[in-house]
Amino acid sequence: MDLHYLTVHEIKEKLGKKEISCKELTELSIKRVKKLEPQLNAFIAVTEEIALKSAMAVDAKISKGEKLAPLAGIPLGLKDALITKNIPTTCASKILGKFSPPYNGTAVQKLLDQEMILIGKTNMDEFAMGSSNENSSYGPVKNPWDLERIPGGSSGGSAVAVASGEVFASLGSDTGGSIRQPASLTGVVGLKPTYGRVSRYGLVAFASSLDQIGPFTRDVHDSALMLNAISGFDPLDTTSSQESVPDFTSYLSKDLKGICIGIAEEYFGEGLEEEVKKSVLGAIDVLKKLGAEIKEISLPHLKYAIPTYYLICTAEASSNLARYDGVRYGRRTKGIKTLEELYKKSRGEGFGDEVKRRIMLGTFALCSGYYDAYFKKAAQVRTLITNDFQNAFQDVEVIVTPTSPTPAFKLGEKMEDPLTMYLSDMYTISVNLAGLPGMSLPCGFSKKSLPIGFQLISGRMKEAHIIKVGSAYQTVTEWHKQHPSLLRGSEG
Amino acid sequence: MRNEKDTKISDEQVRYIADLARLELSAEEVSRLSKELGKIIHYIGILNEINTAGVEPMYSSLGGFSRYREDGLKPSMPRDSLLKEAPRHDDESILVPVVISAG
Repeated sequence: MDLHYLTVHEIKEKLGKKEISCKELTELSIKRVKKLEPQLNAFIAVTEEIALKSAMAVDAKISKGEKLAPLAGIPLGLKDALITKNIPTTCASKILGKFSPPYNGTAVQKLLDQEMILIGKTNMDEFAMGSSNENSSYGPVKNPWDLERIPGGSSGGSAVAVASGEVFASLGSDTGGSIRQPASLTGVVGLKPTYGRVSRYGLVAFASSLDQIGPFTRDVHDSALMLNAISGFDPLDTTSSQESVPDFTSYLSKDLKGICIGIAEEYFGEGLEEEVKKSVLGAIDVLKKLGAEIKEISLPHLKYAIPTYYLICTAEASSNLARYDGVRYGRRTKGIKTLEELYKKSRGEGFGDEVKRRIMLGTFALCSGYYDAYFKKAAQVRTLITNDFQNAFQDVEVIVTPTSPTPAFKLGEKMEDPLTMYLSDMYTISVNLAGLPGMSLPCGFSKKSLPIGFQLISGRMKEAHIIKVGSAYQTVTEWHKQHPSLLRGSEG
Repeated sequence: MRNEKDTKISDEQVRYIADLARLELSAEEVSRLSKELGKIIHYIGILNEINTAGVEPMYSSLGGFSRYREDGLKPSMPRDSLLKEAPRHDDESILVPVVISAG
């Protein structure tokens, strides 16, 4: 039996029945990581010693018959933008050097409190800026479905670690699609919760009004388990919501009677590849057969989402990344005589090309003389985009769209043209601008056997609707049970 | 030559913005960024199609609400655990080049 590709809830059962010990499971996971990493590069660091120690603690509890938390003993990957106590956190940037934080982020702490087993820190685009995972100073991550292709970004490592059976679940972060797009391109489930649902304390800030932490899993059931674990108010994040957190697993469903699903033609127009369109329309048919009512809606400002996003996220980033100055932590250029030169040189040498590009664009948008024409204008359009969604959610519970306009593209294909790269997030970005939850889940394959995903969007704090629709879809489809064949010969 | 559809951002403007951002750029980076930023800013100009007169700007999806936590005394992180991360430090301070010269 191929344990690597079991879901969290299946593995949990095996641990409970003592069919496998947590130590054996952890060793299996580490062995697979070591075997596959030369090909995939999904991890920046593997935390083997910590993992084995935590696994033995879980085994001790199991043998004593102690009650375990829902996620205890499950091998986990964490995007390297998540702060981990005494474990280097690099954000895939040279400027952070071997920064070893003195605390854990809140979402991280919650998973460790449940005794999940940290296998390692996953690779990503530097400071979460990118859609292909090629902007990492630790080298690009490869897509396990085709090693010459990108896995998507920025949480490419977290997506690949789950897609290739290295770990059973992982956390990523999503500012404009950085969980959903790589999930779509690697054939796993990726959830970006509502802005405010999960504390951002201990997530290295990229664009603070857009960033959100969320899970990668193999199915929607696992996604609900992970969301249960990381949600909730945190006094350390003033933007975290005090709204109560339901048990998301109670919304797992088999039919969709009484659910109304919206389809917007703006999401099926120019730029969408035909085979992606076909798969997403196929998914909509399945939802209809499950009892959902399908309704046409309109989101007329969609085409303005990308320019709006690239002004807002870069403006916020230019401000957030001002803290990397070579003074308090990370990398400092040596032999400098003045403080200003120290800042400029440390930043000039420490940041990669895309990060510099965004700091520059953001600084431009905030410059006096340009502020009203660019930053304020974008903030106004953000209101219009948000209003579009609010209107749509008067009539429907969930909106269905493609996640990415194309399946995974080739490494290097879009690196020369930043603007083309930005367009790969055209369907995910508006969800962040409006602060809504969104999930990508597998719904087919291209002719080249590359995964295709579709996106479910719901209203603020209505993740339950997404869980309901997504889980019902997965009771009658098998797309999420397909795994990359490239790696099938390398079990162990 | 730049594509005429691009918004022109001069090398001098790039150097000015880089200075504001405290970012040292090489001559090659300056000339590449002037082209790339020009292209991106031109694309962003599509926003001018929309009349936003009277539309409230939105800076957060939480609708501008702000909450403060209760003020109270509690221990902060141990100084050593923070100092050890600084590239240069002594027992109690982070060290930087001289800011104000004596005399």
